[in-house]
Amino acid sequence: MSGVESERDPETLALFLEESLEALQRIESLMLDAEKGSLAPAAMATVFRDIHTIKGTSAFLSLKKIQGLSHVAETLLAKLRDNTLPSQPHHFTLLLQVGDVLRQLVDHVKDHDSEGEIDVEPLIANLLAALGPPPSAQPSLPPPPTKLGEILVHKQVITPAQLEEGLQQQQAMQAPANRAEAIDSTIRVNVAVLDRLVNLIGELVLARNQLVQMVKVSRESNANTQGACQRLNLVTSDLQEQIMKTRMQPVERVFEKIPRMVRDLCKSTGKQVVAQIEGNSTEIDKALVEAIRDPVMHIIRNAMDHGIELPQVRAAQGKPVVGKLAVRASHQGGMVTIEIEDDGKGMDPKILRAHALKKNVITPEEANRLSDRESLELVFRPGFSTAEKVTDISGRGVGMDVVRTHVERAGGQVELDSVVGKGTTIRLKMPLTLAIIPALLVQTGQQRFAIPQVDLLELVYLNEEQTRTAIENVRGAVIHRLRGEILPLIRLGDVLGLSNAQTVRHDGGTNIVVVAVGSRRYGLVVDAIHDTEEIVIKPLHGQLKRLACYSGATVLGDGDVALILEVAGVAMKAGIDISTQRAAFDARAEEDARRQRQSFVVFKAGNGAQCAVPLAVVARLEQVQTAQIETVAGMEVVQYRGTIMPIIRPEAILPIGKPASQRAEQLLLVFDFGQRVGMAVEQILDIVEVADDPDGVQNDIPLTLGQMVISGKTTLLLDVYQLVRKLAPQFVQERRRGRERLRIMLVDDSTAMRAALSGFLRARGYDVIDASSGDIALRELRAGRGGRIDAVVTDLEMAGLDGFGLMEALRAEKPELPTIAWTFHEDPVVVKRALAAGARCCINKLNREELMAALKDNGVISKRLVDSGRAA
Amino acid sequence: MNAIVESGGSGKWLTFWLAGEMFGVRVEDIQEVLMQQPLTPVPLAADHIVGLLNLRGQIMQAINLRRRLHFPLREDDGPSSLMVIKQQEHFISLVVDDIGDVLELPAESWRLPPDTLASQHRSFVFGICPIDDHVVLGLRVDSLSGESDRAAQKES
Repeated sequence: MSGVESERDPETLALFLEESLEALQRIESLMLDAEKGSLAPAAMATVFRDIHTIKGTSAFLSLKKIQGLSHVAETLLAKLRDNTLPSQPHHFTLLLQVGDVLRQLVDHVKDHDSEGEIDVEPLIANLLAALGPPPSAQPSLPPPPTKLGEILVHKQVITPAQLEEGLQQQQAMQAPANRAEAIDSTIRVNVAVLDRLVNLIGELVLARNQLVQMVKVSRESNANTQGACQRLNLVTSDLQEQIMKTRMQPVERVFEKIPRMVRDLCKSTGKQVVAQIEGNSTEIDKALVEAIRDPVMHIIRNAMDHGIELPQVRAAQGKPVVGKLAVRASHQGGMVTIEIEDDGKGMDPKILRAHALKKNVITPEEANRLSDRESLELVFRPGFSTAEKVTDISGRGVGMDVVRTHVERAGGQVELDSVVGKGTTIRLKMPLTLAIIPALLVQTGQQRFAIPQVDLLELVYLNEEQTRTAIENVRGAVIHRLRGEILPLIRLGDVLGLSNAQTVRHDGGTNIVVVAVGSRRYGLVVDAIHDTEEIVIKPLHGQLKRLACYSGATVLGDGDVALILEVAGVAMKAGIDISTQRAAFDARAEEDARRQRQSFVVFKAGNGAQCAVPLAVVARLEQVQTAQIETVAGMEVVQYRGTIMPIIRPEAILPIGKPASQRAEQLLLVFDFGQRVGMAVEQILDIVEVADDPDGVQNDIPLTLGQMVISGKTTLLLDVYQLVRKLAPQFVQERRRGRERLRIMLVDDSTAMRAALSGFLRARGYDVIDASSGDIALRELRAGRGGRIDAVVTDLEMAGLDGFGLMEALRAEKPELPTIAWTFHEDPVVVKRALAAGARCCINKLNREELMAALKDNGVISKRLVDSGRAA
Repeated sequence: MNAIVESGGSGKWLTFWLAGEMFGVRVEDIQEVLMQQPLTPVPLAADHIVGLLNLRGQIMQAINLRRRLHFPLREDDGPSSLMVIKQQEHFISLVVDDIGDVLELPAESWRLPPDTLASQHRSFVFGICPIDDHVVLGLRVDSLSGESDRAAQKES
């Protein structure tokens, strides 16, 4: 155990403290119940596991008193569990005391970084006494003083008060030194410093944009200035990315509270619910982690309280008795999506309308007019209490309106889907970060405005003829039919009262920016559409803050100021009438089938061949100057957002002919496989939703997913991944080289242990994917989402599928995948059981070097270890 | 003797001209003085907000002080100056006709504005300070970007 002291890194310690306090809370409530009678085996297992984890982690962190006390408590618990000691109420009273003392110790560690002077010996003695007749139990005398200070007090050289004071001084002097030792590969940085850094990098990005712009237009600039400028450009982008990364935190910070909460809510409601959590490691800006915490918890409380039915009700309806609550986080198109899905009773639009009417949220006329989909939106109205009766779970007078307000304030959106009898899905879409956002610049009159990318759905251009025919005027409301849906149009110039705005483009066409406001959409007609730019949002002050059409302002690359449009405010100002959208909503009402539909980007490539790729794989559409495309080592590349992006041309390998002519500007579909790859296309035609019908697809062309008919034309579905692999092998090569690190899946239900070990493994050159339970690990491995995994390191004691079960399952399904058990147990029975379950070896958690040795052989059996395990 | 002007500070005032009147602002409140700058208009904002300007990455609103104080607008198209004023947490800039001298105006020489001062101007002037042959009007800087005025917003 030598050298452990220096490894007490602050992060692991913080996690341990948090986890322990949580566990102690849990133990306390269970013990309180148990004092009245006895403890159910499942509860006993929970307490045992918690104490076991505390013991193990404290040993790991060299917290000797906590370790000692929890060790004895564990022994007692083991005896109670195995019934070798008949349980009596006073056992639980003792364990409650253990909980209290552990909490004191943990609190002390939290505040002072040490366990303090709390005496655990008497309690340990009591526990040992309770364990039964020890061979030579001596009445516990106070041990003779062994510490210098105590001796001095004993000899009455100093008073206990003087001793205490002296010790405190000593501690104060030692503390910083100890901490300095603990600093290894991580350091703690005050969030205020990070915030300042983020602000500064924001300014730097602006200055960079300005400089790049100036050099671009300046006639005097020579190759040297351009080169220096380019370097500055790249470094700034990199710096920005890295600094933003420092603020990223896994959503686990929020999610880890969910299982506990669901369990507690199950207890208080009498419902049975299993929480399924996915995407724990999805990262999001720290500020946003805080911003989503309350909304997520609120939505879960709602789902538990109103969504999922009581077991008997579910049984009567033929549903599984145990309800399902799935919480998933994922990255999608530059946003983090958090999806909370329950399989409860869903929301009935009729009941919602009746309720809203009763609460005076809507008028009877409104109630008659609302479509079912719009009715779902009622839950977001202020004053709409969702609770039939006020419960202590969610009927606290705050409703979904507060959730929406919070989420939108942080730049996010809330979406709601519900099917009566089937369940409800609520989606939070959050930006990755707050400070810098991508935005589209549009122009109206002489002025440019920025529209945040998150608000954008698509850009539509109508040529002169379409402008005449495809824009209709319905009793004063201007609309355009976009793929069968009615899109209300707003002229930005009119809304803002810009008299110098054009009514039509000089070529007679119309630029429409389709934007989303919640589940509604409308088209903003602007004079011109410029580039996208990364912008830093600056707030407006004074009276300007009250203008609902703007969410802020920003400095553009050329130094000009542009206002950032708030699309919801613009809609309000324009007085968009919801009723004109009803047709659109009704058309989308029967959306059940929508999940089986997939959106495709349809485009022309090569010599006009109609092709399509799933929208989901397209990160962006870009247009670059053909002159900017360079050829490096036989591969076309372009500088894109501070990196070199390879460009592939589908016609190079597919029988679709060469483009008739070369244009000055090249359209690119940008894919993101961790690294971006651009695909050169000739013309973007449309985005269409196509029913996922495998029979409608004929597949006889290699490197494609087949052909299908879209909009009456035969369309080639390209297999993007295969194309990239074929046409940009360097790129794939590079990925492979980057992948030579072994990938370990680490399974442990203790967040602190996961953090400690994954940090350690990463530092030693491994990639680590972690899972907080056997179930999650197994699901991830089956789904293959984490990519190739070279070895699994698993804890043994876990709730749900434990380590033994996991290893047995893996032995059956993936016999080639080495599994390593790691545990605090040194009990030979446990070791044997682990080996029997398929572990290549069983390693003590404290002995990480041994784990390294085992992994060195790519997880192949380390004979020595197994032998020693068998011998034991 | 009075609470019109708090004593302390340097006692120095930057003067500027607006429609023939001389105004004064404590030099401590001034960030800097700029020549005419490119401005980005803010549609829907009150008339006196002539636009946003970018000062080394800081975005601030520019207020046409003549409009704000309900003075007649300039007829000539002559050059104007921008005074950047520190507010609590941000900056605003004021478009004025011309910048004058920095004067030392002791706290005790300030008087309450005369009752004859038109009421629409009163809320912007905290006091007057007679010098030589004319008076300096003390501009109440914290009143400028507030929302006290009825003209605050056209948008309803």
